[in-house]
Amino acid sequence: MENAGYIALSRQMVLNREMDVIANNLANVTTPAFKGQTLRFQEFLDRAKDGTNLSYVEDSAAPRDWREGPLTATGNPLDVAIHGDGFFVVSTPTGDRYTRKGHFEMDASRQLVSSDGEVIQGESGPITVPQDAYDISIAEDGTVSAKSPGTPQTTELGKIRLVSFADPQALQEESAGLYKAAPSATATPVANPDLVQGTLEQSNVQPIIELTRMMTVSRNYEAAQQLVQSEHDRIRKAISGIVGGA
Amino acid sequence: MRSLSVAATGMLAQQLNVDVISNNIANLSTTGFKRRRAEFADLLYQNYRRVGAQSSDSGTIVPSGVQTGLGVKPTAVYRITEQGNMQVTDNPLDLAISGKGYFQVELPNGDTAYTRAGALQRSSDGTIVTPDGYTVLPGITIPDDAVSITVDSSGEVFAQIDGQVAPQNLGQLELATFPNEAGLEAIGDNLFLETQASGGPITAVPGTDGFGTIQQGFLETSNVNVVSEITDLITAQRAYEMNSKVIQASDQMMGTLTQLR
Repeated sequence: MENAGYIALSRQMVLNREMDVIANNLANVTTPAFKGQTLRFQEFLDRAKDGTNLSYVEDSAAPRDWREGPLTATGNPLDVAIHGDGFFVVSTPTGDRYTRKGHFEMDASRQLVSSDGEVIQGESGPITVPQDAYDISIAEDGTVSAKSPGTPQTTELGKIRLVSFADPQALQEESAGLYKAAPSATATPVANPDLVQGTLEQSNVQPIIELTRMMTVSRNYEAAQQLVQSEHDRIRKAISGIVGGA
Repeated sequence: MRSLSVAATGMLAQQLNVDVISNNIANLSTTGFKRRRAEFADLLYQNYRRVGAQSSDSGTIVPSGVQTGLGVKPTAVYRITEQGNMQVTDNPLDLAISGKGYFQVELPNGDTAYTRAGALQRSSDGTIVTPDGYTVLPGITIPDDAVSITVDSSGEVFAQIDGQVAPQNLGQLELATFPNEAGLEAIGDNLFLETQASGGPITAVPGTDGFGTIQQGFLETSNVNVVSEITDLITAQRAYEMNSKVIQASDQMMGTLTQLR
């Protein structure tokens, strides 16, 4: 008899979580290369004592929207956006991590690093810019080159490693835009990388969509609440009817 | 309600974004100013249903799981060292650097600072100094009887002395570059200091490979682009509002809960 309340409660719980997901999307609306998430629900069936099926709701997945975010020019030569498929590979103390955030910096030993100081992998080891080199350029295919004093031509310093995954949903986000690959997922080199120097990929969150989702969530939440309330009133009436009548 | 605290991190981030943008706009007409950009990253993620967890005894695996994020954090406010515009001033001691490099300035404590703001002046004893009176290295003195001063593109300073035919060579300005310019520490007054991240200065005569040239009678204006700053400001403001809407909606959801009795 009290099942209606529990079903409404299961609805409120997933709506709560959906609100968390929307809040995180909106909080990261200006985070470079951030990929928005959605929340998927599924039915959870339970058989009541009388044999009828009760259908609750639970969240089953929070997939990421891997669509490319808009590219904006920053004017910083060490900002690189990936146009199309691929991830940069970052060496962290706990292993390789993957990211699409292409804001690079140089550390004291002149290696290309992320803003957390973690080394960006090149196809043959880290990319180090010589002390006196200037005018660093990053080609579409990831080749990093710079000019050295006394030589008219540019010197190749290395090639940024770019990998992709058959199923990017197998990537789990840790933090700061770094993803960890599932042990079963294999990173394959991107055949035709398309990098854009001086540009950053922006967050792909579409604020309008998120705001309408947010309104839907809060209204649905109220509706579920009304169901709980009316169920509560119904039981109270039933009790007072029985007790009052006795 | 986690969404409340998540939205709060979003509002804080946008506040920092506005701070950075407003500093850029405030320095719109600061000589040699380099605009800055705030960069953000998402915070930790919490797993409700772990990716790769088994969903049945026969070993089927959850393909994407339920992972929700905890908000946003600022990771870097970095300087964009693009060349600023050149402005004609016709003042012989206004020197702009076209290309890479910094003038070297001796601070009162003896340290060397670096600047691209070449609005230089003459001190009472004739030395070429910054507007704050700090000597521009290597310390060039202009004689009192000089009628005109010429600084060539390679940084050599000449003075035309009254009554003399040939100009007198007063000295040579050198520029400094850094392996990682973005790592310089700004100390205000258009001055920068060397840090471990920037690496040590490499000095050379202007015009050498990798170094800019000197343009006399010009000043490098800030590289702030008003249009892009204003659009960034609007974006930041809207993002701030949206995060506050999340707070409102979360509050409303909590409000419906408290109506229950």
